[in-house]
Amino acid sequence: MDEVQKESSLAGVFNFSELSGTVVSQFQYQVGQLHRRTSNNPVSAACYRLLRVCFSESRRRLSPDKMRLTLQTLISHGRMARRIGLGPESRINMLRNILTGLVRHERIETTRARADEVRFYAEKLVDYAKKGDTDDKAMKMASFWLTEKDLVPKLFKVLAPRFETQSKGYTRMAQIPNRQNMDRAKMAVLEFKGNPFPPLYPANKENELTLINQLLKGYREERAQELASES
Amino acid sequence: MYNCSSFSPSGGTFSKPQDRESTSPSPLCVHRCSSRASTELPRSAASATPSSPREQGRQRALYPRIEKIEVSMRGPGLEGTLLVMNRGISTPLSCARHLTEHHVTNSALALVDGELWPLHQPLTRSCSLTLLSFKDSDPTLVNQAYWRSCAAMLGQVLETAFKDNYTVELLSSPEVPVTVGAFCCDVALDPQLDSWTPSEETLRSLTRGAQQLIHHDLPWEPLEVLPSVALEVFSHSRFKQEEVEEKAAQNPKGAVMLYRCGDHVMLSGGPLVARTGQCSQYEVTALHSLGQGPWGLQRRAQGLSLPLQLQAHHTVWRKLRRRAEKLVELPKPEEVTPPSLPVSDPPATTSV
Repeated sequence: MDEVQKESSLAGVFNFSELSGTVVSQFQYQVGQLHRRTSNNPVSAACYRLLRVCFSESRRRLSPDKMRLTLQTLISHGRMARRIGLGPESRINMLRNILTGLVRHERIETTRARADEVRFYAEKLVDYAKKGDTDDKAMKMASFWLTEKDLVPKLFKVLAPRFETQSKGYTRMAQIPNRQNMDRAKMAVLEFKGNPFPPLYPANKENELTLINQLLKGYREERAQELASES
Repeated sequence: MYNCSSFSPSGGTFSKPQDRESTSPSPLCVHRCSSRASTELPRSAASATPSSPREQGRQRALYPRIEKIEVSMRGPGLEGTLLVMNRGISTPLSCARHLTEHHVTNSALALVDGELWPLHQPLTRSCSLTLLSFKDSDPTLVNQAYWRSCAAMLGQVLETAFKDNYTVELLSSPEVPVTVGAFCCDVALDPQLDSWTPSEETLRSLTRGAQQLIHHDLPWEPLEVLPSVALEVFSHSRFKQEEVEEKAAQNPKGAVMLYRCGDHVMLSGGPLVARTGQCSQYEVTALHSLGQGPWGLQRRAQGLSLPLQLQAHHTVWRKLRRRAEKLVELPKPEEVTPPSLPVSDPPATTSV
């Protein structure tokens, strides 16, 4: 039973300590069943089962206020959380890595779902950072979410003062065209506001001197004169 | 060629019975501006055509060998761009063609070493070049050039719009600022037409003539010539000859600038924009009469236009248009005689 051993090693990756014994035994039973049924590619089928168990677990553990419902998730018949990574822990690790990249570069490009998911954590992290580096909880959060520890001072010294005046909305997300080379995934750009890069959206240029504005200026002046002479 | 009756159902005063214009039959020849390919040449061009290409050929022959010049581009995103171009052959437009399509379609005028330069005029020396567009941070110069070009186009339309047996004398079109609300072009029509009052239909067919020109997307090609050549070009018009002499006296080099658009050659007080196709909305709004001048009854045609890059919503356009119908008063008080004939009386019949 090589496959089952592989499965168990996979299960080791996903930290199933919280799973109850019944669930695990049921899971092993299902793996065995699957192995018997789909003999052509048992590993992938077993992986599929394993993932389903993981997702049902993650669904149970997510509290509803942390989930932001999009239209797609709203009509998806019970699948309330986004599926990111290989499981709850993988999800957290992925978010940590992306968040670290965001804090380092201040503008990153990633898939749309990941960007949308990370955004919430980025805002929360800045909220914690604004408590100051003497705060215990803030330091704990910073050192957990930033995998590269040299970014911790940047978070407290650069980002927290930058957003002192704001109470929310520290990040900006923009949709960009789908990825062309590999899987045509929907892509997005996520950035901290006030970064040193050129703006994502073109600035709205109000120019009084363009031809049409000059014509309208003449028109307005004439109207004002007419109204003044009438009254 | 087209037939008058088959040309267009709303083809104007022309194909219809002339009962509406009871005082005089319409002198407009709607056909002229539409049939560019006609074998007969328009009146002004008949004299202008032979001499100006000859002069152009002579000026081109001044640079028999290909000599290279270096053009350094200025402008956002173009700093440090150096183009190696041909002296006397390359124009600012060919520089723009080496950049992007955006530069080709959007630039209206060029600055060569800080001096205004039409887009179709060949470069004669190594220089720094800035391409100007309608959406620059300070487009005042381009706006003036655009207004001048629209007035020139209006003159061209007026000259070709009338039937052959009426003479049209284009007087110098006054330079008006953009804020006045309309560009204008002074014209002295044939003495037979002194009692003629243009109707709304007339203005509409003039507008259609201008839109034909816009549709053909003709370039305004500049040519700097000596007064003798210009006098030969304008040998049909006494007024133009006087204007040429006046302009040549003002210019330190003693030369005058001629612009050619299609078959039409005109004098201009300053550089014009690149092509007629840069106008998008164009309307001839009024044809006022200014009273008797030295060249007969003077009339002032007015119009309103906006470039392709800056189009107006139709409500805004209607407001601007209504303003452009009023007579443009020039700052010179001795010229202007304010009482003018009301132009746009709607016709009594509603058969349109």
